[in-house]
Amino acid sequence: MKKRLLIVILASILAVATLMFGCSKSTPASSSPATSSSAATTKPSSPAPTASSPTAGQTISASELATWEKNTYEAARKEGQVVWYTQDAKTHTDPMVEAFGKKYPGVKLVVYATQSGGLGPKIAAEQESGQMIGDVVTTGLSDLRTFSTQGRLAYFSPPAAQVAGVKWVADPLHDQALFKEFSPVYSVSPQGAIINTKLVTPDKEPKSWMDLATPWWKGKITTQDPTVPGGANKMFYWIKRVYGEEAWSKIGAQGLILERDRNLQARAVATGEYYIGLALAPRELASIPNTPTKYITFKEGTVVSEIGIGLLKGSPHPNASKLFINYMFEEGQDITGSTGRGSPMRAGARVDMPDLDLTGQKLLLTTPEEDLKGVAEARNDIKKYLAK
Amino acid sequence: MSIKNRVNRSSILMACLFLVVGFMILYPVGMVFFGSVWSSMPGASGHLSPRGYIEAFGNPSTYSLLWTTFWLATVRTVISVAIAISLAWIMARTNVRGKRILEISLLFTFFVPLLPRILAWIVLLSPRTGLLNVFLADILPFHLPPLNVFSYGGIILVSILVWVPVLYIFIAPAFKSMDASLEEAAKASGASMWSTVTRINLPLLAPAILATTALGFVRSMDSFVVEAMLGIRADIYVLTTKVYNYINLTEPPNYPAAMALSVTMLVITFFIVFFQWKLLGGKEYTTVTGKGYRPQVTKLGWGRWIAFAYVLTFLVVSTFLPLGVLIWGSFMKVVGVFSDSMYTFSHYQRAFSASGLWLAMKNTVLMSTAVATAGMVLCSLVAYTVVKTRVSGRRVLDFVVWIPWAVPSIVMALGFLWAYLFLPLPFRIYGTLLLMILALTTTGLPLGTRTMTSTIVQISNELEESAKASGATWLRTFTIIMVPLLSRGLVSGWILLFAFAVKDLSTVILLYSPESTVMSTQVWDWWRTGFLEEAIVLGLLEAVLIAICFVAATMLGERVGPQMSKEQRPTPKALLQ
Repeated sequence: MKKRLLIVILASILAVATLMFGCSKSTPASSSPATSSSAATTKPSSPAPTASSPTAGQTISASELATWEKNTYEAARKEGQVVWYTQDAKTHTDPMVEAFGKKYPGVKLVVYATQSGGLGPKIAAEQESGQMIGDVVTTGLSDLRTFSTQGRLAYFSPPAAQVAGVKWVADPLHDQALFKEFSPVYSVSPQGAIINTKLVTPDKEPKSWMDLATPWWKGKITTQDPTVPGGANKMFYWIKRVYGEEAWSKIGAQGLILERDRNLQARAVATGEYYIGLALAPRELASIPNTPTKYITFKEGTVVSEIGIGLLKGSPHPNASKLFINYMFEEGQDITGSTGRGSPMRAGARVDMPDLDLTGQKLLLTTPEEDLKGVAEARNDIKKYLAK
Repeated sequence: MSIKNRVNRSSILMACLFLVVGFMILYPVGMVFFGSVWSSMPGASGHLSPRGYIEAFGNPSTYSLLWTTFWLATVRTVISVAIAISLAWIMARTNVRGKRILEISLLFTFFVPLLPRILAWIVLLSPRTGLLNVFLADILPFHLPPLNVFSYGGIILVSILVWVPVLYIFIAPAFKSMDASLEEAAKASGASMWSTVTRINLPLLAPAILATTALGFVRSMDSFVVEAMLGIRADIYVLTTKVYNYINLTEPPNYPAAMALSVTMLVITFFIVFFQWKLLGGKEYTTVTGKGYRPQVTKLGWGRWIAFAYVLTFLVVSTFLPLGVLIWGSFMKVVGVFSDSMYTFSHYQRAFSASGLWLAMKNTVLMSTAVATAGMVLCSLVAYTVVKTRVSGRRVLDFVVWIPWAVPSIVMALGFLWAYLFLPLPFRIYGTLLLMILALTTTGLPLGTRTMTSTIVQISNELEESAKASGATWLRTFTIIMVPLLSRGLVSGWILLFAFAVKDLSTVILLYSPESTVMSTQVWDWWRTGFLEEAIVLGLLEAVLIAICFVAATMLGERVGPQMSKEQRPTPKALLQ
């Protein structure tokens, strides 16, 4: 009798848990690229008057930007803060917090460090439950496109990216042609390689991807895992696109050591464990200072990962969020370049690390369609060439 | 006191515990179950579907991962438990040389955080540049294949070194509390030391050993960080790596398959716990009776030096060597990279001037104290109910408290996130320290409950019965008889939960907000962005924080501890034995 009672209690707890969850669950309609217009069921905790901003594609004058900024700052001060979900290092976020606070007293930029895998579920769960903490998210563009498709982002086109006469390395608003709730790109991260200069003498330094297929490189190469999404996935996609699948076979036969932790990979090169680390960015050098290491690119071009910034739907501080997003296309560009986060999109923005200066480089960009098909297929197709 | 009243009180206690523990554990785990049969992420639109199970088990690689996970867990558990038992026996029942310093050192081993320890082993045992490999190549007159930390051997070695101190702390109280009269009787009957150990000690300690073995096995199955950092380079994957891939490295994330594998691990855990019950059967394992006891010390003669060397070797390999590398590395510009001007203080300057460090320290102390205190109250009641009552359903309760460790921590974190975000409350709990305390108390239940169970199981009912016969109420009996006798277990459990809460990252990673940031998230923040030396500095600071609280707790434990004779009263250093 008591056993039955206990079983009933246990089953009830499970049922109540599931029911509570099921009842509170909403069903945001997913949207497809270019037609995304659905709204996730979210409850902004403190809606504030939103300053109007120019629509994407519209060019504005510097004085219009100043007016928008003044109005938005007034509204943002009432909100007090903006919460920034980011994977960036403190070396990048701390200067950004300080500079933003100086320019906009009374609007605090609060950094929330996230891991890429936990970002999606966290944003989704916050929005579905109406308990939003985050306002703005910066991450890789492919993740942001996924968020947009899922209806997680709100529309905002930063006026600073639309000021007439300002030159950009590439159009930061290019995704507006594909997604209604698009994410502006504020930075790109080049994906080249880091070599150990003690072990790789100048005459051995690879100029082409195919140089790595020569016998000298056998057992000396470590790479980010190309079987999962990321820079290595894109790099190997481009290797096949340029040289065909045979190139995978030749490079794969070198006994590539796969790694998923970029920092450990960079350190393995710095200590001399491996001679070269593929699909690493210049910013990885910041964690291995004063070591015999060097960032290199290949003659075929530079694979880049685009870093975007998105306004979260249901943001508790919408005006402060817009102010911050806009800031990322003003002084934020200089901070991005000077702290080594990535290459800024605005031409002439401050870049302290020469490797981040992409002037004159051939950038290998992929379209969303390629990301969904060719790049995704490459993750599976390459597995047989990596087998030990 | 009538039997009927006692049964009723036990039933009420059981019902209350079921409600509390059931809610804390089954609600978030219910989310995991739900996620395994929901076609998309809980919270997103979808429908009931077996897709997750079909995808997970339709993939042939899942079976090889299951096998790898199983044999790795078995090997690591067997070796870890064997070493933990040998250490516990030496420290509790022998006159080993240098006992006091060894005791303190063994406890300290537990406090060193995991991530920096793994990094230390990478620095020591990387095949080409590892310090040990370079050293061995220099001194050995013959060529030896390099030791490689990125291998099955490396994973097993590091896991064992990390887990033995935990298992030691878990099993040592049972050795310390064992009544010596049985051993004396065996000796008086002419039994050899070996015969006494195998026929008296081991059977008496069977519950603690089995519980420790089960704990070790379940945690080995759930282990992720060691495998992720050391396994992937060597093409070694386990079940938790697969779960991680489904959630983090698949576009879009495949939650149903990840949850289906997690439910599978839960089922495996159920069988492990069930097997443990069956092995124990209904046997009595009381070793602390009303007749009084004193621990007997086996005189090892010259063997005490061998025992000393054995414990010292373990300490050097598990702690001193990696810790030395860490402290040394914290002053190097880049750990493991040697040059003429390789030393710097900048990591300390940067770590200590980081924004939010002091808030994180304050939050950590508050949160960990609350987790340890609330956890021990709950764990003591659960352990008491399971061991000292005959109320129906106690075994189900015993199983339920295992669950948080049966589910991979990355999945359990999602379970907490989903559970508490959708919980209709009149106040906001998401993003607060309160939620983190609740989540960590839940995930700490297996640890705290096992610690208390292995202590309570050895206390005879006759002590309670004598008190009751003298007219003491249940509450008074519990406070004047049980609590003093359990003080060692309580203090050791408190310290374990405190340290667990300070070091935990996976549980809180999705739950914290900028206001509730803690030290583990700060360590992780430095770590993931490449500043490993700063992460090491903060990791060492974490260890110091735990050590300070350990000293404070043991001093407090001494003041409020049992009114025993001087010989019986545990010394501060022995409190965690």
